[in-house]
Amino acid sequence: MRNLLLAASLLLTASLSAQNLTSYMLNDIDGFNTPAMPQFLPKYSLSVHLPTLGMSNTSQPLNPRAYYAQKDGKTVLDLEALAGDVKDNNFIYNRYALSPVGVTWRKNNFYLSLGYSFKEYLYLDYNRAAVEVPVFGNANYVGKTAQLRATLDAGAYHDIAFGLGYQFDKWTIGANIHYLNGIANASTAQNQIDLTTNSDIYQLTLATDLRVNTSNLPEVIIDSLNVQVQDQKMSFGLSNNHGVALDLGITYRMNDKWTFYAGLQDLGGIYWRNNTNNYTSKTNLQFNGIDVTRVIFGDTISVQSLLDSFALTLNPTTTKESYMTNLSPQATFSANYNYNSKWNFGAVAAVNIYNTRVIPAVALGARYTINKHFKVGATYAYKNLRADNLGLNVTANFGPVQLFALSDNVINLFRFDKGNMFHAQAGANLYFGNLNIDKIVTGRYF
Amino acid sequence: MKNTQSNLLLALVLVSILFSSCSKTFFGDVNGIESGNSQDVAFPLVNSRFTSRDLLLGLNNLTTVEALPPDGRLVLVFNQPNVFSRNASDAVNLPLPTFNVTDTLTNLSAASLAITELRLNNGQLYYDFISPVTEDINVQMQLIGGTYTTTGAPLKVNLNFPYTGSTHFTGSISLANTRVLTSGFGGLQFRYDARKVSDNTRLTLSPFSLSFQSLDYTYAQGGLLVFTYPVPLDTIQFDAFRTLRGGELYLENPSIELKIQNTIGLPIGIKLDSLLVRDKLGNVTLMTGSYVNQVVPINYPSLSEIGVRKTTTMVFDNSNTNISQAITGLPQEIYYTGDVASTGLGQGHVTDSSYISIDVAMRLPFRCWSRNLLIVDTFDVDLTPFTDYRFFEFKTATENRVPADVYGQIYFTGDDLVPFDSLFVGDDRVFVSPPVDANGRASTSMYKSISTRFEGARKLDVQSRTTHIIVQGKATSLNNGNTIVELYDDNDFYYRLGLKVGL
Repeated sequence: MRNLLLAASLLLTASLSAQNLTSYMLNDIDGFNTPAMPQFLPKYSLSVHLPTLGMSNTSQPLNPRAYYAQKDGKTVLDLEALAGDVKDNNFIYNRYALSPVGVTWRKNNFYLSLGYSFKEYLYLDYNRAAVEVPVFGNANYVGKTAQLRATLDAGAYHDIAFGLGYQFDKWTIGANIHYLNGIANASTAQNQIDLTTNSDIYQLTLATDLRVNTSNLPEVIIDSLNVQVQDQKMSFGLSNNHGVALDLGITYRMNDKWTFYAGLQDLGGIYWRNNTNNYTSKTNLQFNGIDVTRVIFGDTISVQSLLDSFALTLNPTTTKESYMTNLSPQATFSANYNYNSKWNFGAVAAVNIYNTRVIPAVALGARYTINKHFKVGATYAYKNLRADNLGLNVTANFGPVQLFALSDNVINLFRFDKGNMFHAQAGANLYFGNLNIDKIVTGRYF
Repeated sequence: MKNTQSNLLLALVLVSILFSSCSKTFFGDVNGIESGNSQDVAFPLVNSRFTSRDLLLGLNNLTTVEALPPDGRLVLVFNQPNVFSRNASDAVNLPLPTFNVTDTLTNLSAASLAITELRLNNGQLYYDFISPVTEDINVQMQLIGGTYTTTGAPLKVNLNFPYTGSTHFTGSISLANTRVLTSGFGGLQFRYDARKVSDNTRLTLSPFSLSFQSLDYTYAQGGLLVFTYPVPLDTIQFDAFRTLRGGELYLENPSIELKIQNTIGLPIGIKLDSLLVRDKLGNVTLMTGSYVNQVVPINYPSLSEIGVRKTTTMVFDNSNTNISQAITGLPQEIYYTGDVASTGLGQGHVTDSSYISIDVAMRLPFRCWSRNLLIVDTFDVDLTPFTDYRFFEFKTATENRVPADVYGQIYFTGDDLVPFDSLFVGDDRVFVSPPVDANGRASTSMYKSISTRFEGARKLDVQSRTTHIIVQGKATSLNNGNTIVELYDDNDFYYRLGLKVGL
């Protein structure tokens, strides 16, 4: 049980680094210059990427932090307040990535990269009924069918990425091939719970078509009304959960001023087959009340037996089948304009696909070179149906060492309870072998 | 280089602190989940369908309900079997005459034995005589005139009577497994042959008497004894409406049926001296009309129908009694007294398994009207589970295809059973009577729903003071009981109860 709670806590609170919109405007951080993002060609023959941490949280309508409350000196999540603001459709997408090491090597117009990342993610889509019914009860749904829907995909995996890119004339193309190794996962394949409350005397009909898959998580045994969680130690090592993913990108340098980019990221998935459990419940239950004629005319009714039979019908069947989950792909388009040696401007449009949900985003940015050590920039983005996204970024270069930090939602750093999106990344790089790229290529680009 | 490394390390630490801080602040330390207190849950409690048959059966578990073809009109039938019974051994006695043996060959039938056939399991033939000599004698005794033993041989015994100082001798001859058949053999005769043991000189015994004693028969035929058995004052506990506390019920054609079953082959009659009906309120109505204070002959099997059960049915209905008047007050008990007696000369037959019994059946066809039929019951309840609820709301829904309005109420009381609150305002009509067709049959179903919400001070009052509830229902047939209605097998009603609570 403890392991399960730890695992659940980890999955529910961690975030994974989404592709930060700002990152598409930072041309001088080789850590971002993966071959799939070839608009940023490495300026050094060898770049060593030191630990980089990224996190991303996107939620709609608001993040859960907005509903924290104090009770008896403790912080609690006020579900009632959350349910009061819930919309017809809601989601929470968290991603978190730790990239401890990576390397990029460039030779003339050809370059290779290799890197490792540890990634966690949580995608949770839920509708109004999925929150309202558990929190406020079914009384508001008398005479209606409450369609409870929650789509979950949460997990963690190792990501070993190998990339290669090539520049010819004004075009550069690149690709990353990721080997993915799943650590743990919990996801829904079927998520239908329909609860109908009749207006007559509130007769209940519960129709379920549920399938929850887990891998490398403790098995949950549901027997009647008893729930038991088997002990299992969490393992973060490599497993038999193999997967692949592909990133593709192409850049067109029109002239010294303009560069255009298009790319696709995270096309792929993981085939989970290590220690899997599939919990399936497909039933249609009706509870119309107790027939008291049996009591009046001599028979006895055991409420416990009714509950037991009800629970037995709800009991999921557990199988051990392998299953597949897909990553959440993203398409990006960007344009950069090199105004002069001090100022650069850029624009980015991106589309993230989470399960069946498509979240578009656009951003505008500007960057200013203060001196040979520091550059600062700012972005303004419209994303997740909100326009209050102001980003800041900074890079510092001292010899071969580069430090960077960026966020496209810096405002939310200071108002967590109101923001519904937060992205941040920070890390360090070591550069060796300056290729004086500014002299090789026809300009300086984002 | 060392400086660069230090700066790098410092930068990493700062970045880590920044992110861990951001992460912690953003996601926070959540110690729990507060679900609030505004959860309103609605669920069904009771959902029952009752048929008219269920309802009538529920009135008394000794009742049966018949649905008459072809359309299923319902008749409540209360059966009380065997209110009176007698076996033949109790009912019929054989004559046990004493015979004077006047000669060595004496005709017994000519004396007083009118039985023409007797099959005995057991019995004794007692003899009593005086010997004329003061010495040992031998006596041969023999029944002549029919087949006497199971072997077909006449019953004949040889007895020795040693002289011991008295010439008076008594004793008995076993009649076990003996069949006495007199018809066709010239009657039953007794012959004896007495002789002195010393010289075989024949003797005449006088006086000499014979008697039949302790006869255990399997069959007897002929002139049997006339008998009369009084039926003592007894009570038939009908109480077909035991759950009703009062009200009026008019049944258009009720009847009480006495079914008399008889295998005794004798003319028998029954006479009911009185028949009274006592209702729920203790009122007693004397039933008058046919069958009362009259000897009613009972059917019996003839000699060619030995062992056949013959049935005699006496029906008390509106055609011959004032039964409708007696039933209107919800009958509870019927009192009766009378006699069951043989009639005529007692000629006939009887076996050891012959019997006579009386079953009573009250048949109440439910073509009727009713007014204020009252059902009241009290239940212990515990409403403390509602203590933590903000409110609770009961919703009652009914569908009624029985042609009667039912005004219901549930009273909340303490241990003193004095109501302090009620579920409905006034006596609410919980079940609404549907209209009826020309035959009095309900043609549709009527729906009614009532919601009652308890919250605030009222809810606190009810949940804290209630230890009992009194459930009361008053049923009045359509049009305030002014229309004759009829119950059919397909008349039913639904009672449903739902509960909405604020957690």
